[in-house]
Amino acid sequence: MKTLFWGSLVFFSFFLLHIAVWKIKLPHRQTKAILFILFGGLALALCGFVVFPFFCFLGVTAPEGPELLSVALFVTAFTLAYMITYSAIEADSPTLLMIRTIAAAGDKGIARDDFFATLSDAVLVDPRLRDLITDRMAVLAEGKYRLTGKGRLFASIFTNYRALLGLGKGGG
Amino acid sequence: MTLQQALSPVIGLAFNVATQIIACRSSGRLLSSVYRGFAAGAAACALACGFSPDLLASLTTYAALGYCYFHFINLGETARRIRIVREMSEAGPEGLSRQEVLARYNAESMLRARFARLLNNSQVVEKEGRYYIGKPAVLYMAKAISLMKLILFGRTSGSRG
Repeated sequence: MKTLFWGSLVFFSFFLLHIAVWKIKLPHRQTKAILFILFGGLALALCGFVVFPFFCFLGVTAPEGPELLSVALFVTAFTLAYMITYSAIEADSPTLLMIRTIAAAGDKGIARDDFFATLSDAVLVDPRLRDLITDRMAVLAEGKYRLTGKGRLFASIFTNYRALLGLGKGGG
Repeated sequence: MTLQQALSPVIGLAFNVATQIIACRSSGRLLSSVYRGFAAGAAACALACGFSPDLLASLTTYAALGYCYFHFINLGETARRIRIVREMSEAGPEGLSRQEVLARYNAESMLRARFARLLNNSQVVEKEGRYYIGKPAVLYMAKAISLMKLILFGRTSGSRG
């Protein structure tokens, strides 16, 4: 129970801090800022538990020994899960855009041609090209997008993993 | 709590990954391999933790790790950014212009692939040449994401910052 209590308390406390920061000013590199806030919060909490081992809140004492590892894993898992979900919050997912467009049409439905006209390259591809520059995975020079070392590493991770799974190119 | 109990979510994740890889390579079916991997990992996590008061926390942590692994696989399958990066990687050091990127990967090809998936899963249905919402699961996800956008950005659509 200590893991659930302290893990949830640490994660949601710093999650609220993340929302408060976003309300004040949206960071330029949002994913990095989320990781900094949530992992920074975890590090602070773990230090607090080690320095004040007799600390007690709502009748639950601070975690110790393997419980510290368990709390760290809990917060890490939820931080990574949120970070992954955030990519769909940060940029519009095409599938969710499609669903919203169809839902907005209501009982009339939407015709195929109208549907494809709504979602263009400017909506679906260009923002992701800009994101690659912002995240320093690619550089734009003389009209060409070229991968940086970070971009090449990113590409190789997914290429190799899909090869391990025996799958093709994927994407789309 | 013992060290093994604390590490039981990681043990579960290791079983999840190993089972999913073996299942995907042997059957070639990605989604069912993900389900099998998740179930095997949950069983391994429960066995490693034992039926103690810490089991719920271990399974909760394991579920979050399993969600991350599912999305890692899903990113390779559907993410635009990863597809574009892989196209650039294949192009080599010369890189690609916007037009060259769009010749390899564009909104129309993306929409066709995603639309086929939505129709196959009955999330969208077609009646007399018009499209309607079918099963509402993805619509609920879209609404949840819109709510998070509203909380964080004060709007329900649009790209970053």
